[in-house]
Amino acid sequence: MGIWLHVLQSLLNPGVLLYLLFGVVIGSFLGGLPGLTATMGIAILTPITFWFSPEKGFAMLIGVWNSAIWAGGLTAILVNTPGTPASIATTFDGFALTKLGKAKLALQINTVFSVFGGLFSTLILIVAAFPLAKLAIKFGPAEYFMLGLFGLTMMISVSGNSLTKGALMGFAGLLVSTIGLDPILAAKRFTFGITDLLMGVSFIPVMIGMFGVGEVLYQISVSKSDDFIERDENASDKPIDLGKDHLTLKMIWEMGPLAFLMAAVATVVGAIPAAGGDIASIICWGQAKRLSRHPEKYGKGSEEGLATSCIANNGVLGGALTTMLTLGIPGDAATAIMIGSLMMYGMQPGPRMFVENKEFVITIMLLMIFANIIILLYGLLTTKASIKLLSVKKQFIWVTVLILCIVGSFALNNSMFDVVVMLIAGFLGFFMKRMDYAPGPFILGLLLGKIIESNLRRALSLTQGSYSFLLTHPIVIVLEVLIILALIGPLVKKLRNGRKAVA
Amino acid sequence: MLYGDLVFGAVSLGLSVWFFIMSLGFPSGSSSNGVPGAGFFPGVISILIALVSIVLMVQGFRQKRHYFQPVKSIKEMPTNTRNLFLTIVSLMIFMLLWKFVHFFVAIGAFIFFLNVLFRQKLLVNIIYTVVSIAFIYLTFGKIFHVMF
Repeated sequence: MGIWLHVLQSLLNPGVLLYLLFGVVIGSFLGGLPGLTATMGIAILTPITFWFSPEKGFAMLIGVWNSAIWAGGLTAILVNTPGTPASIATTFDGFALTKLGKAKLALQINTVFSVFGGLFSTLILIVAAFPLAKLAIKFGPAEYFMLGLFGLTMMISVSGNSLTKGALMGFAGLLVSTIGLDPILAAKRFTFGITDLLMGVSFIPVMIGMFGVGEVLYQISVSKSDDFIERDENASDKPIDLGKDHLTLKMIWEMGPLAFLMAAVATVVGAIPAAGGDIASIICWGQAKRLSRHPEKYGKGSEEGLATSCIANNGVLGGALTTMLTLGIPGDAATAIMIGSLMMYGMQPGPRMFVENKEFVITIMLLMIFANIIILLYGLLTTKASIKLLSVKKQFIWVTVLILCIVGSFALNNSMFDVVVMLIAGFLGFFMKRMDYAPGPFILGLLLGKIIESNLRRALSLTQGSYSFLLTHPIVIVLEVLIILALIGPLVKKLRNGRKAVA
Repeated sequence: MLYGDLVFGAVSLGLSVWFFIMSLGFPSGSSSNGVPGAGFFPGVISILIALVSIVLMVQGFRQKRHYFQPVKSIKEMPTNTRNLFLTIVSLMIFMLLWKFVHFFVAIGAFIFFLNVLFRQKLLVNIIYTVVSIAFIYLTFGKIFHVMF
């Protein structure tokens, strides 16, 4: 208890809270503007946070992360365009409520229930993380090897429409992770005489490139001609009517039981590597519709449906953090970047972090709580102002993102090589998006490659080269079964859909 | 015949073969303690990529999907494709220019060009460019001490 109070005292420092507030404000723009995502924002801001202390840096990142996911619901509700992928399900009922003249109610539901989801999953993180970390201490090289493979398999199985493309990207990420010095023998691999490649391909410039530059190039490529025509500034578009309906305590009370259930589901989904807010919100919306007394209202302006999707997309965050902190495996793309950020601060996510950096683990947990409280106040106070987001021109966003990507990647190590890596990753990210190759497996392969390889080789050295550990370790066997299910699941689903179509 | 996935699959097959051949030249492990050498993991991954690439090529051939429209000249390109092409070219020119002039000159030219490309008004363009350079200089140059 003493350590919690000590961390709480150090966080109640105007400096840290100010960075958290900055993060929330920046996140509200990132999430509220279609085309900018929480992952992109965290990727671009990460190099900037290295100049701050770990507490301030992470305060900003946590603020951005939570706020961007919440803010993605704003444009989903107002103009039927999700600000982030996690807000896809928010459009189902959110925009319908706007069309019914209840935009203000919808925006308040978005704020209150997003915060509820975030706080609930953070409480689960606080309760579950320490026991899970104790369990994870029992993990040896064989378990970490299989866990890395499990994370990668999950990402491949949920990425896009093609398992083949997902697998190719995952393996490509693993191969790129081998560039540099071999982790055990220190032999040079695929460096082509370039000194900068001795330390391998840096993860953060790749993230910035794929999610920043790649996304901007894609948006430019699909933009319509009239996006570039100057509009008459006196022309009046019909303003959005916020309406007079607002959220009441009675509504919150009535949605209570369902809210708790969906928050729990979302937290569990978030804990599964690679399952993010988009998957959780669609699963939760579908389940809530099944359980609801008024399923016919779902998709037509159901307050309950909207609340469920908002709970789910912020509810995954605590689950994703649980997996990241206890096992060192990212729960989603944003936590993948945060792992990189922690490593830059000299911390290794995983059970050791709960021993060597216990205070910082508690710091992250408390920052999550503070972030949600700030979002609640900020969101409710800026309900009317959120409409202004719609007037920002896409072209300014594109240019701003490109500049920040270039400057951010250079600022990491004052190295032009990082900018080159970032741009190559950006071009690759564009082609991947254009040709329906999901970047998630590639990023995860790049991040997990060293973990998978070094633990496999350590496991083999412990068994004198024998692969018997695949059949003798209980946790390894459980993970193997989960991997097989994760790979077979989409194939079975595809076969069933094929049979239904024929029938 | 040049379907998107078929081409992509062929390129990745070629790259995987190249990486596999290179990995054969890496130091091998010790047979006494069973630790695989430096070429083991990249070799295995290269083989997996090759196998998946072949599957992708077959799927690409069967699906017959094109992801990009062929264009003969820049004048024939639709606006969005032309903007994309010019944005990519301007990024490359920016990187080359940066080698010969100071970063702020190069980024200023890059920002100005992009705003012209995206049809921003001249005054807005100038203001945006100046404000951006000032922001980068003050925040990254002075506060974060980034050495441009």
